[in-house]
Amino acid sequence: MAEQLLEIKDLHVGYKTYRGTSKVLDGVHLTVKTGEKVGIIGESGCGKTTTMKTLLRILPTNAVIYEGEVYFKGKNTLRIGKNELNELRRKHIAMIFQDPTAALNPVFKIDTQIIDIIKSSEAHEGKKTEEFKAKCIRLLKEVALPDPERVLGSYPFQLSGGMKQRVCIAMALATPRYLLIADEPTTNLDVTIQDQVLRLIKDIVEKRKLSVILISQALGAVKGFVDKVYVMYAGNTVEVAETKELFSNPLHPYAKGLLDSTPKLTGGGFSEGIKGRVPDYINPPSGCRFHPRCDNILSRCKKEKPPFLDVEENHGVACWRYYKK
Amino acid sequence: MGETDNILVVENLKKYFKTTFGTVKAVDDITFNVRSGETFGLVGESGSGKSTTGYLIMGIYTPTSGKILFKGRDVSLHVLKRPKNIKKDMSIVFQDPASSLNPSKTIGDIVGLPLKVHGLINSSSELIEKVAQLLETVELSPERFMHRRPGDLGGGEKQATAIARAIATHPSFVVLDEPTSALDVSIQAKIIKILMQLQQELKLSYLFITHDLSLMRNVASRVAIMYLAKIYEYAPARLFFHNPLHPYTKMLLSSVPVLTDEEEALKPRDVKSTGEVSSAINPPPGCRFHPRCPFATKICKVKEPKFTMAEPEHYVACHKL
Repeated sequence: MAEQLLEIKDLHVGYKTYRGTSKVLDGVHLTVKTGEKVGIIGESGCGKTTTMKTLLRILPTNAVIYEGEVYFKGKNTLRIGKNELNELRRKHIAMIFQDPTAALNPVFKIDTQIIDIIKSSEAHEGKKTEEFKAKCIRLLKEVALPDPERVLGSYPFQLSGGMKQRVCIAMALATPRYLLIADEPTTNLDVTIQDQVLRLIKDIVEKRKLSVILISQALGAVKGFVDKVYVMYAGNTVEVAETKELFSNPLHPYAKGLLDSTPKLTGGGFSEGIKGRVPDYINPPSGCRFHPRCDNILSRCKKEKPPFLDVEENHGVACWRYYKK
Repeated sequence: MGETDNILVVENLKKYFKTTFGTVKAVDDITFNVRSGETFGLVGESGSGKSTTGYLIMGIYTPTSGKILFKGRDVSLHVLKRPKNIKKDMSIVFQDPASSLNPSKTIGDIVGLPLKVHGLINSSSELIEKVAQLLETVELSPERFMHRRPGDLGGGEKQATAIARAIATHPSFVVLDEPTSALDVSIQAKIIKILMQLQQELKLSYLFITHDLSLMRNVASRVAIMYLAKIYEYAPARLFFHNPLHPYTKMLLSSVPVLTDEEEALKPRDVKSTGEVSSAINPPPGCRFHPRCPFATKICKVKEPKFTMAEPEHYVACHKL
């Protein structure tokens, strides 16, 4: 039995805006074991990135954490002090962001940016510049970048999207980590490059035995990558199951709708999608947040929020339809 | 193929852009035809020239050379030089509905504008009536949406507005330039359903541009694939997906993330994605795909491949066939 690396319990996070408080996260649950690959799927604006930002405590200043606990290696990261937090960011968790163009500083060359990461992550006194350079080249070779010397001397704008994302991966993995968060790492890339980048992340992660959280809207990309999948809708974790189980036997109506509306390569059409749109977080629907878009509601759905429970072994769902006393 | 049932014929179309770094060949000698009532798909990665092709057809750019024949008439001109009745008969839906709708106008104004420009209404009450009808055809309730502005709408609703605007003048041909790539999958499904219904009801012909092969399989009747400004394979959708012949088509298909085992079985095994798209300013000589092609030989580096017919209606430009 692998030990628990990360546990997020009933997390509630909101943003203060001039129109009122936007209650984005409304009960997020997530566990990651050591060496486990976990996927989070859900549409844009459902709180995937907010959850990860809460974990690293890089939320914008107008965010408020109302409730919930985040345990990383047994420590509540919402309570730790500045030094420990820095330690967490420097040595334990690495993150790859969606847009590599925005993640790299446009006015510094690639080598400066990678060396900065190495310097802030590990003891570097007494090391020479050449040693850092050699390490950078090794890192860039690991992410399959051709001609690493040239890349190191380039500015981000001189590289293509796929190359920039590889540099970001190299930076994230510059020093040993426990957990890698990949937040839609391939959304901005072309299909053939997406395939290459995902294969690369998977190889490195398996070689180094890291735990991974892969966030994505591309269901297929998640399916080929992870062991366990969480489905999020409007700030709630609505379903969790092992990858195979989830894709063959989805239970929550939202998960079903999402799978049905994905076009298949084999043709044969697809469903009409899910009616309506993601709710407004300032005035979210009462009860289950999915009820205005659900075709199969009970009277209870409008009033009470469904609890997130295991209905089968390793298969949890938050829906009144599956609730048994 | 019978020439009469083609609504659009593109012949040897070229578009070069001059930049400070050299000439970018965005579209380089492509030929295809769209038949009446069909959905012709154009796939390719970013920078392959598919949107430029769409814009050339709409007259947003003037072609460097080559011909665009719409219903047999040469329309290879800039949109401002085209006759009004041709402009009325063609329209376009852009990729990003957030930037293609004027944020300061109401939905009613946006959808009503083409009606006014083409003089299709006589009075303001008729305008309101027609706009309401159009909004209903794209499943937006007129009372709720007519007086709102794009900023108040969700992505799917904005794209529905853009579609209502595109069909306002009863065109017979619509360019759909990645109409759903800015949308979530559950919303995408709905927009596609609306587009397919409209095609049936209004007998529309579509040029459907997308990078999403799974989506393409479900909407297009014939598909062409572009790589670095050139078309390399075109075929009816079923043949294109079940018997892909060009190595690039295979690479693209093998890279598509899929959900089911049946789809997995459809993916070609012999080509894995490697390398990156070469520069469009100095494209590789010969076959432009040769630096990434696992089957490339000497001839591929020197000579440009010509189209051959591999099976009925299935055309491929590759030296290996």
